[in-house]
Amino acid sequence: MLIEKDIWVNLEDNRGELRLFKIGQGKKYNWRKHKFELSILIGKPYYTFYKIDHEDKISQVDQSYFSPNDEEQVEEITKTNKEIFDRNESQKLKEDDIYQLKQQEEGEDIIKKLIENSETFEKKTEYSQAKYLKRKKEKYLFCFIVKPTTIENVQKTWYKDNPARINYFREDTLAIFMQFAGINQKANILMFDNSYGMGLAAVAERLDGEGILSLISHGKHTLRDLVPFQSMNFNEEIIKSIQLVESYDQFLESYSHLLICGEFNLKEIFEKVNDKLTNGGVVVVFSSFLEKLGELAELMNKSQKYTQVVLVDTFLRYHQVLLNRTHPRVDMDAYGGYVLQAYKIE
Amino acid sequence: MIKYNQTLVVIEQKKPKCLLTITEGQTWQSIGGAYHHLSLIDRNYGDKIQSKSEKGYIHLIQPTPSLITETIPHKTQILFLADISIIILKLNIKPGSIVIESGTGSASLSCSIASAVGHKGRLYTYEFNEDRAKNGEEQLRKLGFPQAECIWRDVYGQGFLKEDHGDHKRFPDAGTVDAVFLDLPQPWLALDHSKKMMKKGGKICCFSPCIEQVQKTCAKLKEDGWFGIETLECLKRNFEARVKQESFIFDDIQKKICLNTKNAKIQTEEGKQVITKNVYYSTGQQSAYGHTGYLTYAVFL
Repeated sequence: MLIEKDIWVNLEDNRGELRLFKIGQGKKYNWRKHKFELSILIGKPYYTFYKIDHEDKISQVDQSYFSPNDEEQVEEITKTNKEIFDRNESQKLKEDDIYQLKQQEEGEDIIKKLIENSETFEKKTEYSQAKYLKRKKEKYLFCFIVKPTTIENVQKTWYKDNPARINYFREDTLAIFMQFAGINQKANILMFDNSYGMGLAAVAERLDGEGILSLISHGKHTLRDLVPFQSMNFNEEIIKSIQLVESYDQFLESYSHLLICGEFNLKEIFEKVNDKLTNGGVVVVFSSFLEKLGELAELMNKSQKYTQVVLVDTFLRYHQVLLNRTHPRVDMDAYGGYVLQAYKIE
Repeated sequence: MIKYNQTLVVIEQKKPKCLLTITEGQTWQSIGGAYHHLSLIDRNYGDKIQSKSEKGYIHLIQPTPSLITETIPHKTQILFLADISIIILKLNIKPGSIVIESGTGSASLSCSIASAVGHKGRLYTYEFNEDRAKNGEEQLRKLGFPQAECIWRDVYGQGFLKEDHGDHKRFPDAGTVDAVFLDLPQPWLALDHSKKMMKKGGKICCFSPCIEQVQKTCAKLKEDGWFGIETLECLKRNFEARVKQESFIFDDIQKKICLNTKNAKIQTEEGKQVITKNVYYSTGQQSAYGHTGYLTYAVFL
């Protein structure tokens, strides 16, 4: 598959930063203080690597340039940091010298010079040397890989950059929301989405244009305004299956799924919409607040028309796996919100 | 409407209880009474169905992936909701995807994947134990997933491709697979076989309960040039919404405050005025899984 014009792509750089860009002819993109054109990507295959040099010129590179294996290769430690003191004098090059280098030289050469001029580099433990190299490469080399957009990378990009905009919809919470929803292609879905179209994108992808999705719009948004949704490059069929609804008389006769993601007045929605759900239908709600879901659960349990309400939150932790240095990662997202699910019965 | 040969989920006491295949001449027995399968025919999904003695009732609804996970018979330890959902999201499994899974186990994850790939996609699931392979095939047919194929095969030795002795099953072609999921004791032995099957940009996920297995898997992935290797774990906690009646016996000042809040009732008990209020609160449930396994992902380039 080749990259086309006017398609959104996902770029991941050597620092692990993510960006979503729509490839346009002649347009300049701003990233990491560099301004560059991406038209070189048009016609290239996905999963190729590129670097930006100190003159903002973009060129294609190899995978080996992107993924340094420095940290992996260390097997034995022979030194300790007993004689290394934090005195800010270890690097002989001054700030001005480094600034000059950045204007004139390639990243790899700058790193070589920094190591040559470091008094403590040789004294460091092998793990420290590897970490130092990795840090310098992340700082002075700018390269990225281009990938097609997926729900996973669109969600990750938004969550890292502006989580509030997508209502703090974390990847595992989104995953559980989708699994609870159990969407098949014959579904009629009624959806309330306050996550800027992130939840909508995941649901629409799974529905694949073969059912109907009634999306409650707040009157001000159209599908074009929902950027995460647009980033998925959905085809005509999928977009046609979504009908924007503004008032209750535009609802269909009955729905098989009621999906709510984001902060809404759940009691009001429940009272108004409860009857439209068929028996055997499912309700799935995502909210950052347990109290709201607790109130809704109580309403459902009282009405006697629902199975026992399931209310969960999820724990997600990434791990660093390196020889003799395996442990959970220090940076962790401790809180991802809650999801509620119940089935309607007579 | 309910017909013979459908497999449905029985909801009893408001909770999913088990799977039931509607069969001619059979009766399902439970605490609430007996249910002749004949009496279930032509009822609607979600209807309240009384038992013969009318002492109890059940509901029958169509199985969805999360219900299947809760009710499918366990032949092995199965994967639960939290792991299944993050596997499907991070492997980018969606309608039209071609997916390989090994081993099938009890077919819990297989049903979830088959549902996600839809009628346009394909799931090929491999199991080295003959009984479980037969059971996997049966479950997938009963639950209505013609897009899934369950194959009896030891993947370490034989890989995923069709072998020459004309097997009647469908097999994936090399270089066409979008995602591979391995739940094996030694996943690093199946990595080269997986490479042959995958498209450029396809993703693999290895599930391992022990960190030693994860280390071996990651070492091989890095050695063989896989990209974007990450290891994570995902667990869930359950909460319960409850209502409690809390009673307040107050002096005059606190009575004033209490009367101003909604849902307060005033009763007279033994000459004293007792004010009770409904308090809504959610509480966590004590039992939870502390660990199921580590999930390691990588991209094939």
